[in-house]
Amino acid sequence: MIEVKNLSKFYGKNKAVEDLSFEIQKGEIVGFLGPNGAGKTTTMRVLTCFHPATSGEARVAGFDVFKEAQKVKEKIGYLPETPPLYKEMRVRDYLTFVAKIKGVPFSQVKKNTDEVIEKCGLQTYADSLILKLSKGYRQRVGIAQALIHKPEILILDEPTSGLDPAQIIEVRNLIKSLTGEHTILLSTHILPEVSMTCQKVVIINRGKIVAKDSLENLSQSGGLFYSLQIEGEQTDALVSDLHNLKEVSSVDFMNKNSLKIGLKEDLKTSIKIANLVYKNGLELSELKKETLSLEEIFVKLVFGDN
Amino acid sequence: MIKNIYVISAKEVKSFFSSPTAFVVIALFLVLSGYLFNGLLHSFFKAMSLSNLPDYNFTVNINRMLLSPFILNLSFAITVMLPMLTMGSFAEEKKLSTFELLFTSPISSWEIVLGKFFGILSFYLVVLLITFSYSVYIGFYGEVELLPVLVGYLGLFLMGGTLIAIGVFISSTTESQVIAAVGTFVVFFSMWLVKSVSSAFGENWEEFLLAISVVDNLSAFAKGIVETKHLVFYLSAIFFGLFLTKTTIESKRWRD
Repeated sequence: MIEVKNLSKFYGKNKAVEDLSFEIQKGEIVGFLGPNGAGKTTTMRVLTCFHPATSGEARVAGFDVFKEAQKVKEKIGYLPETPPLYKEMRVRDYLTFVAKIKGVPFSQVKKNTDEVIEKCGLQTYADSLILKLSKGYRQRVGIAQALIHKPEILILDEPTSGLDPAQIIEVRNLIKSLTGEHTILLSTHILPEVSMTCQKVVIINRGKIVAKDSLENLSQSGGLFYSLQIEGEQTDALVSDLHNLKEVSSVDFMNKNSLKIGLKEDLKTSIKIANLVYKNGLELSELKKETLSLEEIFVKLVFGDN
Repeated sequence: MIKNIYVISAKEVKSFFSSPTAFVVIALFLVLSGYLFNGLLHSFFKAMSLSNLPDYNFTVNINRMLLSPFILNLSFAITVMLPMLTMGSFAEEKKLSTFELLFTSPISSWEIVLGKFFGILSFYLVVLLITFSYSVYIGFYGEVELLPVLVGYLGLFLMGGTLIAIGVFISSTTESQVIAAVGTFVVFFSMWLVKSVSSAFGENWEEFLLAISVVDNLSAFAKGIVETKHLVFYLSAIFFGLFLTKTTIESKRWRD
């Protein structure tokens, strides 16, 4: 649905993104992750035909964003970082206007407007001035605006930034409810957001891609490990026994009674570990399989191992 | 094409009425034009009473002595009014992220620029035509030839169009409505100045400066004369202004 190949964008001499390549399949929800200033907004602006790229290629729904911009624009619903609202307009009037400039046939404008108002939970405020709405509701109007022409692709730039926790949850649920109908690319620097809404992530830093994968693969790429809590004094024998297991790659003490056991692969290793603990006359108080959290992976990728 | 331009125009006109802009502009323009008309009416009455005296021997002509000067004076009221209509056209869009909305929608830059232009132009035309009622009203009391007056209004329409095109262009260069308004005022008034200072530059320059004076091109229209060169001047100035606007807003997308 979205293909980006060797995309670079420079502002004068400053590079915003460099040599970006990634692909998004139909129906996927992809999180576009990176610290502030990593180039997320720039990439999105290139994809929405707002900015031309300096070099490289991007295709959306099979159309080139530079040469066939008009067609691409018809397929994309875009929510910029600040929702593009005319504050002195009423919600319904505003959505009607957007529907018309997005090319919705006049006969369907009303139907589409009513639909998005319902979908985004704006019924109570349909006739309010936008400037009277709270930030969370303005964000909903922003999302409604992006949905109005039933685009195949939704590009959302930090849809939850600046909202309070309750509003964040509402907006997230709204985005989740859109799954299936649309291919969604959403940028954020809030990590839990990605694990809650997305299936796939593209992590960029300083204009370059540092990782792109499904959430599962990504968290496993950080390695599998068990955290082990034991009761007892004599642990040396246990450690050497653990080292002898073929699946185990590392054994580290976190403190006196807890160990972190890194694995190459998991072949019912938990039973083996537990057996070793009992064999050495120790008591097992906790054994838990863990993967790296998205945060840890992100920090590792963006700031290096240290 | 036409549909998109219409949608943008309609929204532009609506936005005048959803803020006090429309009402302030209409009120200001009508007060100013009423004041100017009243002044001219007074001097016209004076001339009329003088013409009855035995020592003075001339006939009064409403078109020449009242309505034609009124059309020229109206251009002043228009110069004051138009910056208020054009200042926000692009500056405000650029400040809010609605600029991104417009440019990520399947409409072309020309459609956006023309939409804004025709929106402001049609609002201007309606306000302008309110003052046409003065001439009609005078027609009840004296002999008025309406055709030359209409030609004068065609001139005002074209002059307004030119100023709107320039104003929209200035608005497209900044994100601040205030800067846009001040800049537009300065440019519009220097256009007036051009006329008065033109003679100081010698004959060749004078001819050139008068030819490009937005105001001086109006005087033939005010007399009820349509001349091709004035038509060409206004239409090409409008096109030039709009072309610059389109180029400016497109260049913004390349730069940042």
